[in-house]
Amino acid sequence: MRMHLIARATGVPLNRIDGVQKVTGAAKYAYEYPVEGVTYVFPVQSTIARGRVVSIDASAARALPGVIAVLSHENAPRLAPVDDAELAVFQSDAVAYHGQFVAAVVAETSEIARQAACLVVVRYQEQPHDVELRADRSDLYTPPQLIAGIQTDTAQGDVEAALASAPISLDQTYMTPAEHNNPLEPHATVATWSDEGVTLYDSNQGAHSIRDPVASAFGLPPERVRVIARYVGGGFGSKSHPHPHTILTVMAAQATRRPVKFALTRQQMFALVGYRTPTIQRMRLGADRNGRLTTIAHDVVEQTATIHEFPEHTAIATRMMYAAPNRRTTHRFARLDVPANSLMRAPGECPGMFALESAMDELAIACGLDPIELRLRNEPAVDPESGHPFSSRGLVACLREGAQRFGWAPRDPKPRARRDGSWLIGTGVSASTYPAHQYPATALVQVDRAGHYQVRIDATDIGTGAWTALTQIAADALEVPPERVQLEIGDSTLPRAFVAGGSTGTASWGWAICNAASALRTRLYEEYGGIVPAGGLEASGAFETNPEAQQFSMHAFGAQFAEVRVNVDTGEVRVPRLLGVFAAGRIINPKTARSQLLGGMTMGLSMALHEASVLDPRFGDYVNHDFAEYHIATNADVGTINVTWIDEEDLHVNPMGAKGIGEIGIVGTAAAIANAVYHATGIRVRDLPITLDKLLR
Amino acid sequence: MLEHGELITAVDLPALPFATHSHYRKVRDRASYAFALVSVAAALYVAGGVVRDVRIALGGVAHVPWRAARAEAALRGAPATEEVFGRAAEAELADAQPLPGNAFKVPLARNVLVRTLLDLTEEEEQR
Repeated sequence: MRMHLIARATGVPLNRIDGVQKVTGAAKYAYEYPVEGVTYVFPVQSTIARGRVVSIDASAARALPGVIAVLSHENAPRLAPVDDAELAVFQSDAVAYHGQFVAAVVAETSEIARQAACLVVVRYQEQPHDVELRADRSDLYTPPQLIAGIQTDTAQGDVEAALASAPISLDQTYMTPAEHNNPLEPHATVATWSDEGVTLYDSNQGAHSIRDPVASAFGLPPERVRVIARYVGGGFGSKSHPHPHTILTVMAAQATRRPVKFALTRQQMFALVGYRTPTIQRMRLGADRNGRLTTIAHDVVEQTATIHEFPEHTAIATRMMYAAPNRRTTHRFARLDVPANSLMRAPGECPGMFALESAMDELAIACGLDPIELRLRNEPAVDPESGHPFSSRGLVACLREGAQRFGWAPRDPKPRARRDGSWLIGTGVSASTYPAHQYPATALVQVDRAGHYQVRIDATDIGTGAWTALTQIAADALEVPPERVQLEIGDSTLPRAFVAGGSTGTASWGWAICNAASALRTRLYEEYGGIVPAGGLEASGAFETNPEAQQFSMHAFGAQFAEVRVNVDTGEVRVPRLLGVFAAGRIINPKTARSQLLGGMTMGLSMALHEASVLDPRFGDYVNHDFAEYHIATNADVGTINVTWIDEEDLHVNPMGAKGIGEIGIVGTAAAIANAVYHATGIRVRDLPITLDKLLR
Repeated sequence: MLEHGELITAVDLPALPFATHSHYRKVRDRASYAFALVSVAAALYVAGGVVRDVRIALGGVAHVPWRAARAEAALRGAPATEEVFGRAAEAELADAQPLPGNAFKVPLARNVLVRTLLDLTEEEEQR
């Protein structure tokens, strides 16, 4: 094993170093940057889901004082071909989803731009659209691979024969609806186009991941595009890559040679920045009489958009959670005339584990076993598909620790057994997991004679605490107190790093920082005898790949426990208590870590009880596109949430021994709540969200 | 009907002495910040185990607040029991025409109305 970090600053609950700037308003978010001579763009969105734009009458819009330009496919600058067809803004007259940009107004104020956009008259030649996801469609297709190159299907043994001969078996279908990312800060871009190049203040999860596609679309060398994202108010995956608004804003700046601002409205976000695909998941489990799984089959049907293919890996966690000799996962897709789906917190694992962990609860009941005991009996010795050992696997420890803290035993498994007045009470448990990946990153560390260190890396803090955690890691890597470290992140002119996504940030960026710090210390001691030269000293470090990722199966684990109350008259569900116990390697900052896990579990509760995007098949749009109608858990819906973790140090995953925690908090929460609802009521809800109509008797 | 140029200057709601004891129950899709799926406002006057007078309005079930006149008529003079409350609620809802997405409101309204009347009765008895 290579270097590993001696913990001094890491592991300490340091306050957020950006906290004061944020609460005093000094921290600037993209839209807040003052830019001289700025203008505003506002889009016109398609009112059909499929067809062609036949004509655009912008005369009334152009006549409005303050309007600078009206852009559409008729007059827009030509872009270079792009991989993501959604980014080919105004490059043709084709409409591929409801809400697509068909024109846009640039004006002196945002109000004028918006008013003028309403005056643009667009006529369409409408074609019949196809927007309904059903498992019985005859045109479901099998993509060659899923996102990130993940295998579409896997199979071992003989699933059908094993199911037919299993003494205990289960065959159920679970469904999750489309769900939309709703970060507090809407997507926003401020673009300046000059002869030197393009500058973007942009709300995103990785400046380089915005810079490169923008440069490529506008035919510019990457170094002539600069993207700045120092503070970001949440992303949840929806800001990992550019969306049409990024291109539109740059195009408006190019066309008018004026700086342009654009912040999406909440309603626009429901068509333009991605969402979680709805899923239809058939789970089949076979077990012997002792509850040992003989078969696991997980067959998923999802949707992806005609304009941009994004096949999500819903069944991926089923490939490594439990031992069983016969196993299969499949993913089939309907390609629909819908807005493009994309990443949303724990894509794959989150909806997939709702199905698997609900099914495990049902199997435990069928076997007459406690649901924790069932999971213990099916704990694999090695990764069941790859055969690799786990670098560490804390599921059993989390379940045991959680059971003790939650007061799981003695639990009468009989449903409808506990009641307090009009409220039925139940408890439920679910496992949780998320992979511990790393992606390439580079960092630069500089020191001056006064012993002050600058750490430069294009990492992004989307509200997670990266500013603080990376400062702590750098301090330990440099063996200095954190006060001596100044971090610079969120700028594409900094050394390249991968996005804040996939729970990879701390691991990947931290590793690069460790390598840069190590290089600097080596130079300092070997070349300069430990004395910083007059001009200061710097060194770069890179993290490319983790060779041990080929030898070990690397995942974080967790156990989630829920207590619910269900009203006998109304079916209203309340969740007075959630507990999450996680095994995620070393925790870099217990304070920000707790916040991330708490946030994940809250979002999981919201998914369990509230969140669902409703598509109107007549028009192909998501109709409940605001916070009044797309319900997210309010404070009143969230009871006590306890978050804890077990001690785990996994030096196979990275020198910090830390696994990412951005996503695991949401994985399993919905199943724990659904399982508790069954325990309270005897009613099994297999289609989220668990609204009261499903519990009325 | 208001004529052109007319203006409502006052609304007189005569006090209903027994309505000093009333309940309002609002059932929603989440605990706060949501419209009522069904709401019930009820005032109940029970003496000697018999309903002497009652007022009921339902929300979230029609285009206007719905005065449950049929239920009120069925309750006046009847014994204050769960069975009677259930029959009154069913009488009120007998002609309800739900749509596919909101059929659940019929049993929900029934349940909430019965529960509200039971709670009021229990509190009346304790006074």
